[in-house]
Order: sequence, then structure tokens, then C-alpha cells
Amino acid sequence: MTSTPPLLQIADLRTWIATDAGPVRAVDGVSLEVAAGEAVGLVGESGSGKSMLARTVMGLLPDRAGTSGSVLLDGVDMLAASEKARQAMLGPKVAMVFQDAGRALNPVVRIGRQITEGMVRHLGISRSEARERAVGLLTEVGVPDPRRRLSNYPFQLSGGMRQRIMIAIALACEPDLLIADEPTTALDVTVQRQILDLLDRVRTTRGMGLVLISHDLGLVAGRTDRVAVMYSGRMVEEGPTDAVFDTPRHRYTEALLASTPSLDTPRTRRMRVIEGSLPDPRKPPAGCRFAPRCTARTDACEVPGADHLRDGVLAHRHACVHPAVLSGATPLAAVAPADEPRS
Amino acid sequence: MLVFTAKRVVRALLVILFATFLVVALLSIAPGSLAVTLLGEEATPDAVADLEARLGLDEPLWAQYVGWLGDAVTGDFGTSLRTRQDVLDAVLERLPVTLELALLALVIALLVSVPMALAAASRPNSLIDRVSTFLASVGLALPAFVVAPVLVYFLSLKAGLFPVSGWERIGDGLGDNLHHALLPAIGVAIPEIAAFQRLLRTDLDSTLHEDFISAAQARGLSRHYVLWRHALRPSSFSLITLAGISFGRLIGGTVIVEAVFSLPGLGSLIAGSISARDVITVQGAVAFIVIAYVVLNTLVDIGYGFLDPRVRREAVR
Ligand SMILES: Nc1ncnc2c1ncn2[C@@H]1O[C@H](COP(=O)(O)OP(=O)(O)O)[C@@H](O)[C@H]1O
Ligand code: SF4
Ligand SMILES: [Mg+2]
Repeated sequence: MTSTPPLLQIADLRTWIATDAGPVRAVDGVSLEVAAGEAVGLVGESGSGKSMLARTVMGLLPDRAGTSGSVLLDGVDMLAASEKARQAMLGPKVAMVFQDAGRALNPVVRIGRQITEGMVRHLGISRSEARERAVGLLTEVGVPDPRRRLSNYPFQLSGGMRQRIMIAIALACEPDLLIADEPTTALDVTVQRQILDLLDRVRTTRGMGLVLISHDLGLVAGRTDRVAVMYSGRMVEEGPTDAVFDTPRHRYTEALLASTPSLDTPRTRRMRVIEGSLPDPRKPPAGCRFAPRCTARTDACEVPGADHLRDGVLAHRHACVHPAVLSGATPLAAVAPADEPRS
Repeated sequence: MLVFTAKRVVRALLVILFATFLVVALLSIAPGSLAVTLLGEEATPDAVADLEARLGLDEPLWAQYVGWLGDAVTGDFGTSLRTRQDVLDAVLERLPVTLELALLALVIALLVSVPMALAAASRPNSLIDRVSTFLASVGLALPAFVVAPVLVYFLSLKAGLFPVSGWERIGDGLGDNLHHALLPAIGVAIPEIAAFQRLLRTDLDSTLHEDFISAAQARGLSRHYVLWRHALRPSSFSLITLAGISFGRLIGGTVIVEAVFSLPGLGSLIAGSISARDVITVQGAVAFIVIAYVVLNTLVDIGYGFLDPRVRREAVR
């Protein structure tokens, strides 16, 4: 679309983990782009491969993992880069906020060190200068009495405070891209919103790119420009957040929307649970992986390659053979066209 | 931290009381008259009665213990039946040798095992992991009575690097002292190295799977830094326990190595006293070791508080 290359460009990424029962295909041919300053939601139910995607970008995979494809971050291929070159990117270019700050903060290392160590390494500043900056960061993320917090251990703080500190750590080297993997799942509902608002605020003030990962489509609505939906390691739908949210095309997105209550907009839609569960990631079905659970499934859905992404209007893409119709209340897909008109 | 420390100290005192009671009690519960055993079957009843009175064996057990304890707190552990030497003097005379040996062995074991375990854990299943783990298994399988003579044979007799036996006191020059102490200490250290490496390697492995390690790596910190700064401390709790236990054990347990190298340590004092039936010396030396052992373990416990801030808090609650 634009001439400047995107900040993050993931192309045909595959990540698998060798197990005794065969490789787990956690990410299986995903492409995703994030422009500078853009907020992208990554949603899908637990086990769909969101965390593995994030960990692949950061190079935090388990020992028995393998990858193919490419992850270009600011022009550097994170999969091909040397360990040193990759480490140099982590902090100043991309940073990550983990799901449970209670586990992601080292219990026996003081908060101060955990914030400053990255700055000392990447920004080449002294420890005392880094501490001064840490005080500023803690103030920015709304941690009261920041100077004293530096000498605290994580267990001395509440869950919400810990997550704020995780965010401060991630912001320390002023990354261009922040990946937040379920940053509020471990928190109380009231604290969840505060943390999400905080992420919104620091993103806009810093002009930072954001990948907000959640199993809850409602949570990313209103906070992201675009949203990508993953299912069983595959990308099934991607587009402007409003479009995906208002007119989901893929049957999985549609079902996901119907089954999740929203945090932001209290939805009147009746709650539905998606019957069944994710396929075995070692032996995913050929064709559409949602087929075993889909009420609109036909034989055409099970043809290998049936789940390729189809372009739609306004860069709203989906991988469904029988997509939900754009408007109106037509319930099912018997009459839906096999392909979409291109804009 | 104060409450925490006080609790540990009280517990240590109780353990010391109980353990020394056992040491004293063992003498009275031992079958047959100790005095007869000591003096021989042909001893006159008068002599036997005299010795029993001197040892306090004619009194009830609790009175014996109270008497012993009263003496012990003033530093009087009795007089050797064999040499007439004050038992505490005998122990203190030999203690520096054993302490140095144990301490040196412990330091060597930690200095070698910690980097070995870190190197192994940093790259699981790599060559360095396999070699390090293999060496640890070999070390564990080699008892001191095999290791010590082999060391003497190769490093002392063949290579002439170290003296074959004997001891120089620290007071007579540190260099000379270390020259004599190093080989025995290595002999004592080898099985400890193996045990330490195994334990730390396993604990590191589980720590390295923690989220906070991923999070540290996500900050672009070097592998080396993450290992030393973030993984080592939370992985070292059982290692410190083991090191404390090992140290206590070594104080009483360097007998074989002391024998191989003819070192004048505590181990050889106890061994010699047992064969000479010098119960008073055995009793005093064992009581001393028990106390040293408990004190050390208490220090280790308190050390936890400094190592893991959570322990302090839980203990105070
Ligand atoms: N360490 C691991 N070893 C083997 N399989 C794993 C491991 N971590 C995740 N997986 C598998 O990878 C798939 C994707 O997991 P994940 O990325 O954590 O999903 P999500 O974050 O969307 O909930 C799942 O099938 C999960 O079971
Ligand atoms: S491709 Fe077929 S099976 Fe898959 S979601 Fe669409 S309609 Fe259902
Ligand atoms: Mg996840």
C-alpha cells in the first residue's frame, strides 16, 4: 500500500515444536504486517498459536522448536540474524509484555535492576542514569512512590502494579513495537481496563506499534486499528478492526464473536459456546481446520488449500469457503458464493 | 529478619540439646559395664567402681547429662582416658586441619561445579552438557578411598607436584600450607563437585523454563548475563542446603583422606580414639562436631533469608 516497508513483516511463518508424538505445528503459514505506530489485535482461542507467534518474533522458542519463513523487523530477519544481532533488537526495536507479571518478573531480583539492566546494555548509559530514567518510567506507567519501588521485590507489589512495572520494563529502551501477550488475563476486571488504557496511552504518546494478543475479540475492539484472527496455527481472518468486528466473514470469527462477552461494549448478543475443541496440532485437518466444528461446512471446505486467505473489500481478508454474508440476516451458507467480489 | 533469625537460633539450641543428650546417653545405654570394658576383665571391683564414679556412670542418665552439659558450656568436655589431654584442647588442636580441609574442598567444589552446571544448562544436550554431566557421574561413582590414592600416585609420586603426605600449619606459611592441603582437599572435593553439579544442573534446568527467564531474554540480555543474574540465584537454594550439609559432614568425615595423607585432623583423632576405647575423647569430639554441624545449618538457613526475600517474609508472618 505505502512505499515505506512495514515495521514488522511476517511472511509464511511456520513454527513447530518436536514432541515424541510428532511435531506440534503451532504456527503454520502465517503472514502478518504491522506498520509503524499501528495497533494490531491478534485473537483466537487458547492454543491457536498466538503466543508461539509472539515468541518466534522475539526468538524465545523452546529448545526443540523449528521455524521457516521470515520475520522482518525493521529490515532485519529475526529468524536468520545471529544471536548478538537479534539481542540488539530486543528492547530498542521490539519489547514484550507477558501474560502473568507475577511469573515474568524474577522473584529474587529487585525491580530496579529488572528495569535498568536493559537500558545499561542497550543504551550504554550508567546504572545511576538508568535508575533516574526508571523513576520517570514508573511515573509514566502510574506506579506511585517510584523511587522506593526500585528497591522492592516483585512479591511486595500487587498484580496490577506488577503488570505496570512489566510495561515500564518493556518501554525502557523505547521500542518501536510492543507485543503484549494477554497482558490482562491474569488480572481483576477493574484492573484489566486500567492496564489496557495505560497501553493505549503510552502507545499514542510514543507513536509505538502494538500487537495486542487476546483470546477475547471484544477486548481488542476499539483499541486496535486492525485485527487478525488465528485458528489452529492458521490466519483465518484479518482486516480493519471495525469491519471484522461488525461483519465477521469467517465462520470461526463469527462464532468467536458470538461466544465472548465484550469488555468495552456490553453486547446484547446472546452468548453461544463453540461446540468441540481445537484439532490436534500434530494432525490438523486438510483444508479448513475449523471444519469439524463448523455448521456451514461443505465438502469444498475440506479440499487441501481451501483455507487460503481471500481478499475482500478494504483489505478485509478471510479464509472461509462459505463466508458469512456482508449484511442482512441470511443465516447460513448454502447460497453463499464460493468467492468474494474483489474491490 | 530479626524474628526469623531468632526462630532459627532457638530451633538450633533445641536440636543441639537433643543431639548432645543422645551422645551422652549412648555411653550409658551401651551394653556391659563401660568401666569393665575399659579396664579389662581382670580389674578389681574397687577400680571399676572408682572409674564408674569418675565417669559419672553410677548416676541416673539425666544427672549425667546435666553434669556433662554444665561442664560442656564452660568448655570442659572431659579429659582423655588415653593421653590425659583435655578433650577440648585435643579437638581444637586438630580442628584447624579438618576445617581447612573441609572449607578448601567446599570452595573448590563450588568453584568447579557452578560454572560446570551453568555451562551445561546454557546449552542443553550440547557436547559441553554431555561432557560435564558425564564427568559428574564419574565423580559420583568414585569413593574417596579410590580417588585419594590415585591422586597421590599421579600428582605426587609421578608428577612430583605435591607432597605425598604430611601437613604444614598455616602459621608456618600459607604457600607451604596450601601446597600440603591442596591435594587432599581435591580428593575430598571430587565427589562433592559431582553432587553439586548434578543438583545445580537439574535446578537450573527447571528455572530456565520459567517465564521470568523468557522475560529477561526478551530484554536482549546476553545468555551469560541471564544465567548468572537471573537463573543462578533462584536455582541455588538446594545447592546451598547441600553445601551446608556437606560441610558439616566433611568436618567429621574426612577420615579416609586424613588417613591416606596422614593429616593430623579431627577424623584421625576420632578414628584413633575409637580404636583406643577413649570414650571421653570420642564423646567430646562427636558432641563438638554435632554442635558445629547444627550451627552451620542454622547459618545456611539464615543465609536463605538474604538470598530469597520471600523466605524472610513468610517466616515473619
Ligand atoms: N513448549 C511447548 N511444547 C509443545 N507444544 C507447545 C508448547 N507450547 C505451546 N505448545 C502448543 O502450541 C500450540 C500453540 O500454543 P500457544 O501459542 O501457546 O497458543 P495461544 O497463545 O494462542 O493460546 C498449542 O497446541 C500448544 O499446545
Ligand atoms: S471454510 Fe467451510 S468449514 Fe471452514 S469456516 Fe468456512 S464454511 Fe466453515
Ligand atoms: Mg498464549
